[in-house]
Amino acid sequence: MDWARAILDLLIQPLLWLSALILIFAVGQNLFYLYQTIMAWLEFRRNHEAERLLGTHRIMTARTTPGISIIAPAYNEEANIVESVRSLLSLHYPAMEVIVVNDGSKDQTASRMIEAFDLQPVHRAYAMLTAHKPIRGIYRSARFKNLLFIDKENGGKSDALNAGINLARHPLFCSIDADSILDADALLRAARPFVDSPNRVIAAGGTIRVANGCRVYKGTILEEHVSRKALPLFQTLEYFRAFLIARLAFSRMKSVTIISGAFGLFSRKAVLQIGGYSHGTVGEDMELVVRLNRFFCERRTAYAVRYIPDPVCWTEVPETLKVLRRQRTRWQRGLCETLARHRVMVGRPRYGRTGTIAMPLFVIFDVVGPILDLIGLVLIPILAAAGVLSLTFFLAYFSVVCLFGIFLSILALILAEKSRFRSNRLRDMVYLLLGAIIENFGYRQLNNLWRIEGLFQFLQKKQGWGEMTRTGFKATTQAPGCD
Amino acid sequence: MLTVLIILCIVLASLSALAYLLLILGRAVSLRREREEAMAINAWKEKLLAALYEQADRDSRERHWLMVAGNMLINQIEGGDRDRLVALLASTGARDRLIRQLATGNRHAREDAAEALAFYQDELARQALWRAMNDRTHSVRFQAARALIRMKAVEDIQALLLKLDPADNASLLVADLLLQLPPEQLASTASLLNQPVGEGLVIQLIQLYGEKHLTETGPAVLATLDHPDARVREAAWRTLGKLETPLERNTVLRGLNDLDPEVSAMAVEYVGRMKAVDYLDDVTALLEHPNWWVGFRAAEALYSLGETGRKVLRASVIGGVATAADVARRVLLEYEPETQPGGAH
Repeated sequence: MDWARAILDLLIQPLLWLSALILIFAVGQNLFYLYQTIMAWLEFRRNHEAERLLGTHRIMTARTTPGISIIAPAYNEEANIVESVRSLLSLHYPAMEVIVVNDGSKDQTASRMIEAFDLQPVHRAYAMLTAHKPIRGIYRSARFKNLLFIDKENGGKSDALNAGINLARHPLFCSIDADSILDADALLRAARPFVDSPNRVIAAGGTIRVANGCRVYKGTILEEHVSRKALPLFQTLEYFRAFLIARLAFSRMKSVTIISGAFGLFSRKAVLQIGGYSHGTVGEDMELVVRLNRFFCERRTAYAVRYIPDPVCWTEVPETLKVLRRQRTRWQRGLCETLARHRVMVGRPRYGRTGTIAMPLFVIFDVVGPILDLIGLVLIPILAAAGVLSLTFFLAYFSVVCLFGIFLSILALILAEKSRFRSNRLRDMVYLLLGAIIENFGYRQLNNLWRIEGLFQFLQKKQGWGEMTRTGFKATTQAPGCD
Repeated sequence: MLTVLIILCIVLASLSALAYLLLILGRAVSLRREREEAMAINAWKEKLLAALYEQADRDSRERHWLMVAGNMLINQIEGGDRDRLVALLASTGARDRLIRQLATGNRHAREDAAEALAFYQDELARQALWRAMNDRTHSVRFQAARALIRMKAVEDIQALLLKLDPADNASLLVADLLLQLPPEQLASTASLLNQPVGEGLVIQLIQLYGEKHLTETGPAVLATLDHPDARVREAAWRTLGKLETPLERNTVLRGLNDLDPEVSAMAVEYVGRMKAVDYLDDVTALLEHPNWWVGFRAAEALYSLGETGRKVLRASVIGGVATAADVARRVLLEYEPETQPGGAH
């Protein structure tokens, strides 16, 4: 069968080239992550110095500290809403208001709020500076004068945030998820860049940490612990890498393009200039920051978007594969939507480092990367088993993907230990170390699969968030001293 | 090549895992030590104080460690014990050592020395700290200023402020100090408004003048109305309103028509506070300002001008253009809900 051998030979050569390309890509990707880690270390040290000089009590007492309107969109959040709002009201900040936007919830979110905070209908003047669905009513708490509750028709998270922005009265607004918990001093820490450079900084993001496994009481984190369940543990490591390494490095490279929707601080004026959050995207947080970058670059106005690691927001992460998959595919869809919507920026020096560094890297490592990773995962073992690729090649690929991955994860853990995110218990450190090793064998590959699924959903123009099932912090709640 | 890659990955992964294991081990040791230290520290505090109080002969090495320990301890005790410890440390030469360290040490040593010297309430320490205000490193000057503030040894507040970095960081340091100053000393800082001290400080000062109602600072604040930074102009208008400083018509009109809407809004607020009916037409024109908030503030100002202004608002609701009618209606709804349709809750 000479013709069969000829066809096989013809096929094998491109596959060999593809395997080599995949290996080179994996090496390049990991080297870039290593570079990011070094940048993150440098930025971490600089932040630490700034934090030392300008402590939170100085921001608390300074006359230049701008007021903040906290906007918490809520959709079917009856499990957590009261605890979360209580936690928001207890934050340390000299001038703030809390605006909870009920985005047409179908559950008891509104009634829980009305009952818990003694809400009463009020008039509040506002301009329709950003578009949103009609507001059904505005309520103010009789007990907490700085708590406002907006009841509006369902229009999605962006829509709810836009309504909150219209009603906000302070120059800065903080977008947070209603089910998240902020550290008491998070706002003070997050406001630092705005106090440092009030005319330049238009947005700043903080760190999101995983609350699963922590002891929570009345909307406050009592004890910081790592979850013993595998999925939250792996996500804890992912969040460390994403925030303490990637975002810190992007901040160093002056090209921050993502501020998490769960906790971000924005100049209201800047966001109004670009018309608020855009509708019809599931990645509204990234889209907003990219649009801000685009707007200010096009107008050649000096601006800065910062990430600072110290302000911490705690969030509950999915504990089942089903919910996690839904979340990850949605994130990937959001990323692709933003990249597609602002494709004109990619590689263009006009858009500064966002266009020349951040966005091309997203395309290479977050869109193309998962595809190559998955092809490599299937192709290289098959070719090695068939004897087409050498065992050394297979081991080299395995080493780069898994062992180098372990190395990078542990570097992130070491950085976390050097920061204020250090673990309180030795067994948490051991769990994290085990997690950093195990996640490289299955979990990461699964994630790549979901990313590809998200990419396909984007190509099919799938819309919507899907339901996010939460257990509620109450499930882990215990009064202090009730161990 | 591939073999090298494999070996490199194995080595890196193993080394990082080993480093983390060492970190765990180190943490275990430090946790244990912290527990032991916490128990021992109180006992040793007493013993150390007793040792310092005994003026027995010691060799130079013992004196050295006593001084180091004493300087560390000084932050942890209060009241009479601290005064006594400070006096004793000064007599053993610890203060002179800190002064030398402040002048010649490395950056961190100079910062630490400045911080510790705050406890030595004497002239030599004060002079050393003032000298440190000329230090080339910003953070040392920062700590020295903090120490001087703590010592309450800042007679010349302007000199201290001018020595600090004009960056906003430095201006925040003085927030605590400014709040503690007696009114006449605070008013004396008004001449700083025209000096290169950074916008952050200028804004703080202007706002404080308004809050403390220092009418004598009015002329200095007035001079900042042409400041290039809109935030300064905004603060100036707010303060002038609080101080109720009368202004010339041209100045007010310039503020009302400022290019920055925040400034314009504050100038409108000034007119409202002053209840200056002369500007009725100018403020009425601003009801149609392209920035909604300026329009809203104009409506509020009209409401503050009394019955004449309120008549204009009511007329705007009925016959004004869309923007003017909207802001007028909203202001009336807020202040007179019973007179407006759908306003009674």
